[in-house]
Amino acid sequence: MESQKWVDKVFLVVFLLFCTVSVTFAQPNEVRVHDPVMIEHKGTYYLFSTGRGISVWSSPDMQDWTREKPVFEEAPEWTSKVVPGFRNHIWAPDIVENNGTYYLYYSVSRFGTNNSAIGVVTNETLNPDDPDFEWVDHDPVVQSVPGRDMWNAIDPNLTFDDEGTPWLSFGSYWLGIKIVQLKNNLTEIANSPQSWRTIASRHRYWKLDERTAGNSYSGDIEAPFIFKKDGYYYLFSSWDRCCADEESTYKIVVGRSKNITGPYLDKADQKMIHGGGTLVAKGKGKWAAVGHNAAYTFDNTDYLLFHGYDKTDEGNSKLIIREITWEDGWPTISL
Amino acid sequence: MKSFYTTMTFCVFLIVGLLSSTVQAQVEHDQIPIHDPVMIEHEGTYYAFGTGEGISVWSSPDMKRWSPEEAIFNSPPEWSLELVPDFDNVIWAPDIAEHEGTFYLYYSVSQFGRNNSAIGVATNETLNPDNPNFEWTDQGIVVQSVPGRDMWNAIDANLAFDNEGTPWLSFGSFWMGLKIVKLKNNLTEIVEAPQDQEWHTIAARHRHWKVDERDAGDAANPELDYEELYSDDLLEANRNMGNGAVEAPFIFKKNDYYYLFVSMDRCCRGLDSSYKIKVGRSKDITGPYLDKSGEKMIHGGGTLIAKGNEDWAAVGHQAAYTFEGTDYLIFHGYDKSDEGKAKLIIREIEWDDDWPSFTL
Repeated sequence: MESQKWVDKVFLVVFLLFCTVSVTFAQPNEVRVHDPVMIEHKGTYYLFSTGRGISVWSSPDMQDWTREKPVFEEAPEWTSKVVPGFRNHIWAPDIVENNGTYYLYYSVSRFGTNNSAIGVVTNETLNPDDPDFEWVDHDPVVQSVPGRDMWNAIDPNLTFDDEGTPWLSFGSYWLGIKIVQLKNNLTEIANSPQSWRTIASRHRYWKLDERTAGNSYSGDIEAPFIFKKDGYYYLFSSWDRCCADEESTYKIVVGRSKNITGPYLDKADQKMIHGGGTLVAKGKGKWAAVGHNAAYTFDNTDYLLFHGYDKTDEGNSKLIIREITWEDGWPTISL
Repeated sequence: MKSFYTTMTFCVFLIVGLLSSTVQAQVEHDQIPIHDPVMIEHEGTYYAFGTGEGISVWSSPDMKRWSPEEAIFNSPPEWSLELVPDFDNVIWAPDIAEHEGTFYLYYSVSQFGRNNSAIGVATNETLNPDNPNFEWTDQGIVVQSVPGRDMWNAIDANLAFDNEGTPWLSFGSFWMGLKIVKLKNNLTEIVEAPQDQEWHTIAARHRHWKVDERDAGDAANPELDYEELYSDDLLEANRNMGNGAVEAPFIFKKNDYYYLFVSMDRCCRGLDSSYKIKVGRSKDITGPYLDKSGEKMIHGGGTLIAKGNEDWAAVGHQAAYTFEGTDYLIFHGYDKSDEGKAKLIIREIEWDDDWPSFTL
């Protein structure tokens, strides 16, 4: 009997320890994500990020996160045609709700090439327990072709302009970030005349091969996110090197415009298509580098959401959520 | 008296009519007003096509005496009005080829200074207007460029087959240079699935990275405000053809090489034109094309083979053909003795160490 009590005690201690560890892991800084986006739905926050089949997490409070099933158990059929041998590792999703439907955009690519496409999958609910919960995939929204295009169909972000017209910004490396008008169904590019613009770019050496993305001296810009606030469109974007753990030099910059198609100017009035951008966040303290942000308003508070490479954990990529402070119409955060 | 005057008037009309019809019916080739000429031989007759309303057509028994023929399009191709709503039916820079008994005429629909452009193709079973089968059928768009999406311009097409018999269309440009894209065997379409398409840039010149994406590189798009967009230096460079002025590819197979002829600098300004012809070559149709000094054409290389002289203000927009064992370069020149009007020029190509040259 005594020994049974002892076993019970050990079990209790182990159980408590396990709980503590789980709770610790559930802190937002300990959620291992890359390229996070978020949405609130019926009191639950859902987070989507780069990963096999698109990683999904849910939380009641943006603090305590639970892993959910990925969106795609198997890679969408069309992806293997675009990228032969595609292994369902899907990049940089974007989530938005419109008229009761959830649109999840995502990127299918291969590192260093612009043989890429942006797909979109829709659902009537984000709650896996809802009987209507079902992801329905569509044809690719936009596709880039090596040798044809000086842009890369990755890192999508959907935004509506003040007239309610939907636009998809995306990209890139190569010659920079594009924006293109969508049809009202939000799954296709608008008919002729197609409306395209470059909204941000960095210098790219002209003799770089057209099949080369660029490098730390040429055109390293990606991950646009457009956030509307006080009569401006704020264009956030990530510069420099992602995805190299502690070697990463990723950072977040911003510019703004009265028109969704630009020109976006930084705080010093430099055009973002000419390499302009005001720094919002870069590596600091335990974070080797940070980037690939999204911005949202939840309960009247503006948040910037992104990932950081954690120096104290071998440069692993973690979720970071920070409140945005607006100073003279410009967003700032304390990392 | 009245009948005398009537007879006289009739005679004057007759003489004038005869004279003018003689002049119109046959013109020595250096007097043919033509822009961007291409040529083909069919049943003993040479046909030349050039830029013009509905595409200009000329015929000749000997490449010397030329007669005007009816234009290809009486009215703009249906699709062209969707692309350019007020399109005036002035169609640019055709290319003519024969393949398995069908003639393919590629052509460009665009607006000066913009890359809201498309290359179309029309086909015919014969080029002889007296043949009962003579009828041009438009096959629609082969390739289209979209402002803000594409850093190239869908104009100035040229069809070439590689050594395996695969058809390729080279075209362009200004912006970031000349493209080549693989065609389907029907010669009228690119493979539909983007991932199955094959594209390459084959020639380019430096373009300052701050040149607006809607500007060809010559600050000629009337929709843009250049004073607002550019520094004085950049505007000056644009106006001096310092930002990507290359167009009009033509690929000619010879000596186990593909020779890529291109035109650089300013066309279409009469006596102020600075158009010139350059060449490079490659063992592969998709390049890299190198000039005589080993410079890549995608890095601005190109060996000069013709530019303006005492007679011609400038020359360019060339095509190359072999007729009866002789290689010819045909192009247009801006005639100094005729107010800079564009005229047809035909020259035999000489090959020195496998490089083309001729005397202008």
